[in-house]
Amino acid sequence: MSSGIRLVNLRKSFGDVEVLKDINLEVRSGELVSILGSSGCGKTTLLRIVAGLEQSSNGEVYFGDELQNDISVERRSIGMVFQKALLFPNMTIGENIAFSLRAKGEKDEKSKKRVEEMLELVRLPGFYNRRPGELSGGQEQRVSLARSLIRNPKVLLLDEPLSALDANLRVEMRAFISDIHNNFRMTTLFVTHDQEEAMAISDRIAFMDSGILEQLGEPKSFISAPESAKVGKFFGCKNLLDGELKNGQFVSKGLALDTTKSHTLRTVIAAIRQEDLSITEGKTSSSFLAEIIDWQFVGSKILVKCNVVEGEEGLIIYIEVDRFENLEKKARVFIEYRPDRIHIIPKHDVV
Amino acid sequence: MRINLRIPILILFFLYLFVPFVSIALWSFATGWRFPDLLPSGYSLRAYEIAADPSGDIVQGVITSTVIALIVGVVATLIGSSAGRAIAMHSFRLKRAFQFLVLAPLIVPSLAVTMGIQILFIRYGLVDTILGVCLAHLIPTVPYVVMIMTGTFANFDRSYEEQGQVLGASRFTVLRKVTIPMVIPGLSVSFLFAFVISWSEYILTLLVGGGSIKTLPLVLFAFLRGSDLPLTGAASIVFMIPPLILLRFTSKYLVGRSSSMTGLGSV
Repeated sequence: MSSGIRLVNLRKSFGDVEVLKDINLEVRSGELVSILGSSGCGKTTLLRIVAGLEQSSNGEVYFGDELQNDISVERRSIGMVFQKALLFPNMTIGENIAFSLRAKGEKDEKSKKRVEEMLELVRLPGFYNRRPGELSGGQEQRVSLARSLIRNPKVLLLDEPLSALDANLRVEMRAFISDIHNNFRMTTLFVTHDQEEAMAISDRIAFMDSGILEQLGEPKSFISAPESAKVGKFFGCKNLLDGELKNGQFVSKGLALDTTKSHTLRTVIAAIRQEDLSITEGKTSSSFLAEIIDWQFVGSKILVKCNVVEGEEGLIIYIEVDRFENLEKKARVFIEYRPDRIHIIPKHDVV
Repeated sequence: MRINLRIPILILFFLYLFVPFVSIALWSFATGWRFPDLLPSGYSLRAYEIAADPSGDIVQGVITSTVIALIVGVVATLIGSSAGRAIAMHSFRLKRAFQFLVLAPLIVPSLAVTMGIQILFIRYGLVDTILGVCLAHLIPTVPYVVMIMTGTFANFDRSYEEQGQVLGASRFTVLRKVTIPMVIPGLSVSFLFAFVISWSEYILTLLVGGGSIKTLPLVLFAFLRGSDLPLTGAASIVFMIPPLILLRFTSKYLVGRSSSMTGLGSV
């Protein structure tokens, strides 16, 4: 049966370099949590410690209530899929999937039926006698997943399993992993550097930066309520303004915006998502005047770069618009904002 | 007009390789062969009958050589592949020095150190023993294995072993079912090289074996100094066979797609 994962005060250093700085994380039983962060943030090291491939310098790893620290890799109840499928080239697909059963000494005839079931599950029926070289990247990764699931592990660890695949296949495999997860409800840690991937697949996201767990929460909270400027930036918020709170207003370089949230802090950062801003015809109660400098296409949307007229020189705001209408360089427009969508971040880090 | 020299050069090359071999083969069947004649004056199997004598020098030499070359092949492959793996996959203190020391026997002429080995082996009672000869043969063989296996392990992805471990296999199972099958080309070629080098070794065997461990090269050399050329020819032919048999089974790893060596192409 699947059990939760609990990481307590986890630290890891390689020589003088501290890769993990006091990580505390609880993954509930049956939950899929993504560990998201850019390369070098320590996310893979974290996963390797959970797997037992790496020893932590300090702290504890629990599966359910069982302390795992002194349990070696091969005795931990885990399934792990790496970036590369790593199918053993000297075995057939069937033998690859049966590897964990045979390592335990199970007989071929007994394992064969279960292998066939797993092949069915990963939608590769009849592949038992194929060789690894004959499969596509996506098929190989599905075999790798089947090979990990067949031992019915308590936790499933996925280390960027989709990164080596091309874009279309990645989206397809993402949905596939979601399906498998919904079927089995296996506690899963999913390491990725792809924000979109994490958003699509996770129950919760753990965002890491420089060995620190910056924010843990549901995907939508990373958009609407980033807890730090780093998170805001990583999740694509283009407007992160340094400023102060005065009389219910956020003031930055001469621009004053109404906010609905009351804070006791004075110096803060306001995160205003570009899609929460819009260009209006005339002045409204919550709008300000700006001059269009430039624009660029981002997917099907247009990101418009504006200079705030009311503010000091060099106060830049980005707006996302759906259509290419009335966009003219040097044109002066009113930009409307929603006071309830201005997210205030206490200031304790620098962008 | 360009003259195509490819074919003539190829023919010269083959002549260079095979003429000595043909003359040895002919000699082994000859009853007499005087200078200006193109072919021997008569043929017999006398030399092979002598060679096949179970208590004769040649059969005994084959047995001794085979035992020694097999032991050396296995032991050198074990030692050399461990060292090769360490060099290819780990970083450690004094690694450069270790690499140099391991490969030094390839550079230092073995004759230069043989005296020292002999003195040392006399002190430890290793001269005149199979064990002593085997130990001595490890000196010129291990470096080749290290070279081959360093290359093999440099191309080996350790993640495969980790994948084995996370699937619940012990280190030993991983070694047996994952690592060895993946580096078997390198191991085979290593064994071939170590076997052949040991099989042909003369000086080390002579000095450490003290003449009482008679491997085939020693027997052959004794015949060469005698005057029975048919017998020498037969001994030479026998001498060539085992390495060729071994080559037959390892050649797929020497050239072609699953090769552990580069540059030999596919023949």
